[in-house]
Amino acid sequence: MAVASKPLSLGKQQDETKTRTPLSDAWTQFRRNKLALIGLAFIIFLILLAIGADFLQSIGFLDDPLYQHEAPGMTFAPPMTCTQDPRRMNPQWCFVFGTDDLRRDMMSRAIYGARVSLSVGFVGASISMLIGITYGMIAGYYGGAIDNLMMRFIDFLYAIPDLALFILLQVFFKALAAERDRVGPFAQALVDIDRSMGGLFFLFIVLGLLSWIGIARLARGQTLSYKQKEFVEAARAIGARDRRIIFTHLLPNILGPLVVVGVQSIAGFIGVETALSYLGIGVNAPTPSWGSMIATAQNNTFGAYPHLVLVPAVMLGLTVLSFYFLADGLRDALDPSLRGT
Amino acid sequence: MTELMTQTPTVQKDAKGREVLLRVRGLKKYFPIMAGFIIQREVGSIKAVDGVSFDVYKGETLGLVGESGCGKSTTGRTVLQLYRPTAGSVEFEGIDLVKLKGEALRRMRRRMQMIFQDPYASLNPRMSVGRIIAEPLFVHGIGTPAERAERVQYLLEKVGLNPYFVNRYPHEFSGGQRQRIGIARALALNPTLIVADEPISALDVSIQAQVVNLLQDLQRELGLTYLFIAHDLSMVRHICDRVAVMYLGKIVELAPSDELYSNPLHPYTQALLSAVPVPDPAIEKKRQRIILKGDVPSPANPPVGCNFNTRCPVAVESCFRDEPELKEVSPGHFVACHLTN
Repeated sequence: MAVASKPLSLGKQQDETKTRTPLSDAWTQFRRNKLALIGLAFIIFLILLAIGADFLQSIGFLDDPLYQHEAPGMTFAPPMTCTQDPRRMNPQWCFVFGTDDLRRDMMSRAIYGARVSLSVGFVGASISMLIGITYGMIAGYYGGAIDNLMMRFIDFLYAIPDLALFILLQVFFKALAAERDRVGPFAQALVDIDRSMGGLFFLFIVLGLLSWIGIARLARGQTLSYKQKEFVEAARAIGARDRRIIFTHLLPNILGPLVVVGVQSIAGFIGVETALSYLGIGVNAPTPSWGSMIATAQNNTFGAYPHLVLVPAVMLGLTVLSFYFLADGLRDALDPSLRGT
Repeated sequence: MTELMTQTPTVQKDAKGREVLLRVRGLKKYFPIMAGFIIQREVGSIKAVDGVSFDVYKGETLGLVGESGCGKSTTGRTVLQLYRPTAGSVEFEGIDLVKLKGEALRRMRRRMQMIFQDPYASLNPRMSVGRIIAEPLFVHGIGTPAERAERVQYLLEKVGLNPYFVNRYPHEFSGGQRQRIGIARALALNPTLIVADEPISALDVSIQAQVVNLLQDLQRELGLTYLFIAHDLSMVRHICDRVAVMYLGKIVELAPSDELYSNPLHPYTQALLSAVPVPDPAIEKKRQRIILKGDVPSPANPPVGCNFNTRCPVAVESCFRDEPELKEVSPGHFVACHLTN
């Protein structure tokens, strides 16, 4: 043991409990970004509301979003008005955010609308990350002709204007749903699934179809740059198989920027869902969604009743902003080039 | 763990009865130059290693020196089959690695390891030191988790690091300490051959000596054989038993260290050695530097004849016509030059 005679010390007293893992480092960095923390807090708050909406309704804090109150005198109830509805078990009800044209409670609709927006955002981002990372890493890792072919296919997809395709496909799916009884059993099954999800299923398919290409390009670029690194070569030198190199050496290193783009894309998906619902080709009619609420406001005289557009628009704005702040904070926290190696 | 300790080398001996661990013959590595739009064609090749032959005896250190871009690192990587050679054979313990593929090659990797140049790039930043060192064992399915942990502790001590460091991450270490981690990883599988690719050139001079001494101690203790790639001539003289000088993908001179440094025969070796400062003012004052004119020719288009003829101060007519062979001019001293033959 001649070599072991003098173990080096790190200057400071070593204690194994206070080691800095890459993840704890990222959290320390993330905590410094106040806006990102606020964004995260708002998103968590919104998620809790969306999940707990049914519970809040059952204990009487929230109205049924589909329930149309009786209209004594006026069509729209402005915010903070209370009414009596003799049809209900509990006739006294106050509309904190007012009502819409069918005298449905806006607060309830806004919260149930968050369900649609958040699920579209998270499912859309998950689908695009899953497909995009798999596709991009395969192209980047194996390179050569495979890479060339896969990337030319992506270039082809990139040439398609996505919002136009979304609209086209949604119109097609809406027509399919309307013609349910005259299509084949497979299409019928799809339509049934879509109906049970209030129109979300087709939205997921449409959004997932093209959204992964940006992630795939990023994943490919990251893979290309990391597979040149010596630690990947070192893994090959010790005899690691491809699968191990991809999953334990490349993936954890390239994930940072991909997560940032993924979180950013959630905001984009929410925006697209709102746009489609606003155009009337998003979720099915009675299902509350921020986009369809804005459309309702536009169809009526919202100049006299600004809450019609303000409630869904502010919810949308805050949510999108929160996701951008969160992504911003994550970028600072996960980008190793901004910190010492 | 017992399988780690048992070794069954196929003994090969040369004429003088020395055991040959590694026999490289006619090794070539050409990198294709691709061009073309969409459909890529090979329009030429970089002759990084162009017909290299040498033996490495068991327990010795063979130095491989030469300026940047002469193909010494590529030779090291091709020997380990990290790059597959274009031509030639690499016999390691009597088995031609060039003919091995997949699982058979993967199993051979247990017996030959590599130490990398850049200690900052050769360790995965997302893995703890313990995982990095244990990975070779894991990849080859050696030992139980407890046995692997024990071996990691042993290796950390062996390379002069505190065993408490297992849970730390590479960014918490200095360059010299990281290089020790890389050495521990290379030792994990108890290899017989270690290719050290400029293991000290990225380190501070004060740390270089520590790491070189560590490598020498380990060699003595574990009976390692080194293929030591470097450009620091004085360090090579200190650590190597024999030295091979490379120029433009070929070995121009190969001799025991003392012989090479006291009696360099190839004009390129002479020029290289004349650049080494002597720590004695009296000799240093009289030292005549041989300054080579021009640049190294492109390895994509090496000169006809002797590939040193563009810069050789003593080239004669035959140097521009015939390629010199590597010939033994005195016992153990090989030179590829028309003028010495």
